[in-house]
Amino acid sequence: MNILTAQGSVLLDGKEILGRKTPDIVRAGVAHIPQGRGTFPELSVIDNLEAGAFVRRDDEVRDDIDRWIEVFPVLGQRRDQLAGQLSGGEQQMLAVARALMSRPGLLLLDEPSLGLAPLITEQIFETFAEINAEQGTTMLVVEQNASLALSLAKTAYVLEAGEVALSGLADELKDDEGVRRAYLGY
Amino acid sequence: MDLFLARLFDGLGSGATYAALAMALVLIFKATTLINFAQGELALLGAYLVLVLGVEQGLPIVVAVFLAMVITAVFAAGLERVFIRPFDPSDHLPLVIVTLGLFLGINSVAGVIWGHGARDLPSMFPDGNLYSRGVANLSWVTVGNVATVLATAGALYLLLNKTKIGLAFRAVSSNLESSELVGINIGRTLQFGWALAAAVGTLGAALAILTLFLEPTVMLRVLIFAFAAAALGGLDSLGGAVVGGFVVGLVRSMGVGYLDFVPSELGVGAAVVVIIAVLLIRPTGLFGSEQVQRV
Amino acid sequence: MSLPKRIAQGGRNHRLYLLGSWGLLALLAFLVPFLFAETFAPELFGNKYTVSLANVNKSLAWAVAILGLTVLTGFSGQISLGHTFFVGTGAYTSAILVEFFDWPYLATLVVVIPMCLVIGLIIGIPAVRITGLYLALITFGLAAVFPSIPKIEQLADRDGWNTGGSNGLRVSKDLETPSWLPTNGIAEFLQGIPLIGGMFGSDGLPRRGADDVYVYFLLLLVAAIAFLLVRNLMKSRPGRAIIAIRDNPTGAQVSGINPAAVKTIAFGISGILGGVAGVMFTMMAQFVGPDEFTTNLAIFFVVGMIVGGVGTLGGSIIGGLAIVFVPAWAGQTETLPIADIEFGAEFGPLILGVLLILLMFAMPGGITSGFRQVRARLVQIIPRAPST
Repeated sequence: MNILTAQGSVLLDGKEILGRKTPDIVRAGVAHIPQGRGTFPELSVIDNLEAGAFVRRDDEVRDDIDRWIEVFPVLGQRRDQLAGQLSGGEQQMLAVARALMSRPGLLLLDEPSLGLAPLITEQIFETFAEINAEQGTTMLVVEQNASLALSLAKTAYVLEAGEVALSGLADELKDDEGVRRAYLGY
Repeated sequence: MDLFLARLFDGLGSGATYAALAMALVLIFKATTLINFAQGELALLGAYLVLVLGVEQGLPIVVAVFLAMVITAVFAAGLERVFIRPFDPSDHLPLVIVTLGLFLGINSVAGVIWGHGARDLPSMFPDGNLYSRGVANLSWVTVGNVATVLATAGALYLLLNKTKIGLAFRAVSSNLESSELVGINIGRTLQFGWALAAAVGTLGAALAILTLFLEPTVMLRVLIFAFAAAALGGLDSLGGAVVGGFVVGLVRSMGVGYLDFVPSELGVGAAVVVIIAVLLIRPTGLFGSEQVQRV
Repeated sequence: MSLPKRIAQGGRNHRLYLLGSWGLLALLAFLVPFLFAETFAPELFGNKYTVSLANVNKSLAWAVAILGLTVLTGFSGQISLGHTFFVGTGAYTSAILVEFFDWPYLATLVVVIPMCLVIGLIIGIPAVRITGLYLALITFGLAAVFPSIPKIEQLADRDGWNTGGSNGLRVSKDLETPSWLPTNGIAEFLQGIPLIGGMFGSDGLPRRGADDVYVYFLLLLVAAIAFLLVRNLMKSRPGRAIIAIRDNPTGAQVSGINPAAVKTIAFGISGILGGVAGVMFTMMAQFVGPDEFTTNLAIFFVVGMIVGGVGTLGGSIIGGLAIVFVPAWAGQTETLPIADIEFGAEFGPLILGVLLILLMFAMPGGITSGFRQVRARLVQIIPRAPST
C-alpha cells in the first residue's frame, strides 16, 4: 500500500525488491498474509481462492483449489459462503489457502495467532509445518507466542525495540536462559 | 384500465433509462465507493457522439451507438488515469470535488461544441406500437429500452462473475489491500471500471434520448432519478439498480397520475418519499450488502 | 530572523500575535464595504473582474449556510446535499413575513429558527438509520424537490400571502441605513486619507451602495454571532459528543453517548444555520424565487465546504466567498494568456471545473489547510507545558 521511506536493501533470490510495486513482488513469488487476515469479505470462499491465483497463467488452478480444500476441509463446507461470514479461525485458514494459491516460494505471516483460540492456533501452526515439509515453501512468521513459534521454526530472530537482539537455530534459542525468562515465562 | 396500462408502459420506458444510468453509477460505486457526479455528463458526451456519428456521418444508428460507447470508454479510462488516480482512493472528499469539476467542465464543453439547442436522435428501434389499447400504447421504443437494459444487466453479470478481469474488479471493490497482495493492479482495474461505467452510461443516454431531446442539461434531469434508483436498489448491487430504476420510473408515472393531491410539480418528491420509506426499513437499499460493524 | 518564528502559547508574544491577527481581520472586515461600495473591477489578462458589495453580502449568507454543513459534515460526519431546502425555507418564510405581514427582517428569525430546527430534527430522525452516501442521495432529493414547492398552486395563487410561483416574490421593504450609523461620514473620512483615499472612491457613498453598506454590517453581525455560537458549542460537552460520533461511532456509543440523539441534534443545528442563511439572503437580495435554490446551489455549498476546508470554521467563510466569486469571475473571463481563444460566458463552468480540479491537486485538504501549512513555515506556536 503506502510504502514508507526505507533504507538498506531487501533481497529475494539475490535480487533487489525494495521499492518495487506490490503486484510485482507477488509475481516474483512472495505471498503475504497481513495481520487481520487479508481476505475479500464480500467474495465467496471459492472466489477468494481464485483471486489468490490471480498472477498465475497455468491451468492447474482448479486442482490447487481442490488440494487446499482437502487440507482445510472446513473451506470446502463453506465454499459458497462469503468470506466475511466465516469465523476468525476459518478466515485465517482461508487467508493461508488464498496465499498458497499463488504457489509462492516465500510465505510471510504476520501474527497468524492473533485473535484465535489456542486450540485453533496450534492446529494452524501444525498445518504450516506440514506444508513446509511437503512443499518446501519458505515461511517467515512474526509471532508473539514465542514457545509455539520456536517449537516449529528452524531459525529464529528475537527483536527488541526494532533491533535483532538474538538469532540462531530455534532449538538453541528455546534453551537460551535469557529468552526463556523474557519470553517463555519459566 | 387503459389509463393504468398507459402509465405502466410509460413508467417502464423511463424506468429502463434510469436503470441503465443507475448501473453505471453502481459500477463506479462498487469500484471506489464513490458517487461519480460526472457520470451523467460522460453519458451526455456519448449521446452527442451518437449524434455526430449517426446523423452527421450517416453511420447506421446501432453502429454509431456502439462506437460512441467505445470512444467514451476510452475517454473515461483516460480521465481516470489523469484526474482520479493521483489521489488517495480512501480520501473521498477531494475525489468528489474532482468529479464535480469534471461534471462542470464536460457539460460546458458540450454546450460550446454542440450548442444549447434541442436535437433529436434517430431511433434504434422500429416506429409504431407492439400493442395498443385505447390510450395505452406499448411502443417498440419502450420494448427496446427494457430489452436493452435487461440484456446489458445480463452481460455485466457474466462479465463480472465469469471472467478474470471481473474477478479482479470484485476483489478490488471488496478489499484494496488484499487485492494488491494477490497481485492485482488496482489502478488498471479501477480504470476498467470507469471505462465500463462510461460505456453503460452512454448506452443509457442513447436510450433516454429516444424519449427526450438531446440538449446539454438533459442528463441532469435524468440523473436525479438515476441516483434515486441506485440508492433504492442498494448502491453496490447491479440487479438492485435495474429493479430500482423500474420502481422509480413506475412510482413517478403512477404517483403523479393517481394521487390527485400530489401536485404534478412534486413528481420528484413522490420518488424521494418512497426511497426514504424503503431506506428506513433497509438502510442499504433493497439489494445492497449490509454493513457489519466490528468493534 | 530565522523562520519559523517560535511563539510560546499564553506568553506576551502570543497575545500580541493573536491581537494583531484578529485586529487585522476586524479592520479588513470593517473596510471591505467602503472598498467595494462602488463596484470594483480589477483587470487581469485584459479581463474585468467585478467585485460588488451585493456579492460580498451574498457570500456572508452562504458562509453561514456552509457553516451549517460544517457542523453536519465536518463535525458529525453526515453528508447533506440538500441544504438549499433549509436555506430556501428560511428565505421564503422571511420574505413572506416581511412582505405580507410587515415584520422587520431580523424579527423573522424568531419564526425561521424554530421552524428550521423542527425540519432539521425531522430529517435527522431517518438520518440516524440512513447513513453515508444513501443519506447524501436522499438529501439531494430534498434539494431537487424544493424548487417545486413554491410553485404548488395552493401556495402560489392563494389570496393573502403567497409564494409568487415561478416568478418569485419581490420584497418591497428596503433596509434603510438608520440615522445614527454614520456610514457616509466614515466613507468621506476614508476618502480623505492621503495616498490611499482614492481606493475608497470619492464624494461619499453612492446612493444605492449606502444601504448595501448597512446590510453588510447587519449580515456581518448575524454571521459573527452564528460563528461564535458554533465555536463555543463545538468546545462544549454536546459539541465533543458530536465530534466523537464522527470519529468513532461505536466508541462514542459505548462511552454513553446516544448517537441517535446527537446526530438528530446536529441536523437540527445545521438546519437552523441554513434557515438563518436564508433570512440573510432575503435581506441582501430582497427577492426569493424557485430558481435561487436549485440543486446546483446545494452542490455548491458542499463544494464551498470542501474548498474552504472540511471541519474548519474559517473555511466556511472562504467557501462562501469562493462559491459566489469564482463562478462569477469564471464567467467574466474572455481571454486567457494560455491560448488564443475567445472565451465567453459559456466557458465559465469549464474554467470553474478546471480551477476546482487544480485546487484539489494543490491543496487536497482545502484552502484552510493550505493556509495553515504556509503559516507553519512562518510562525510556530509552542504549546504551554502542562503545569504540574
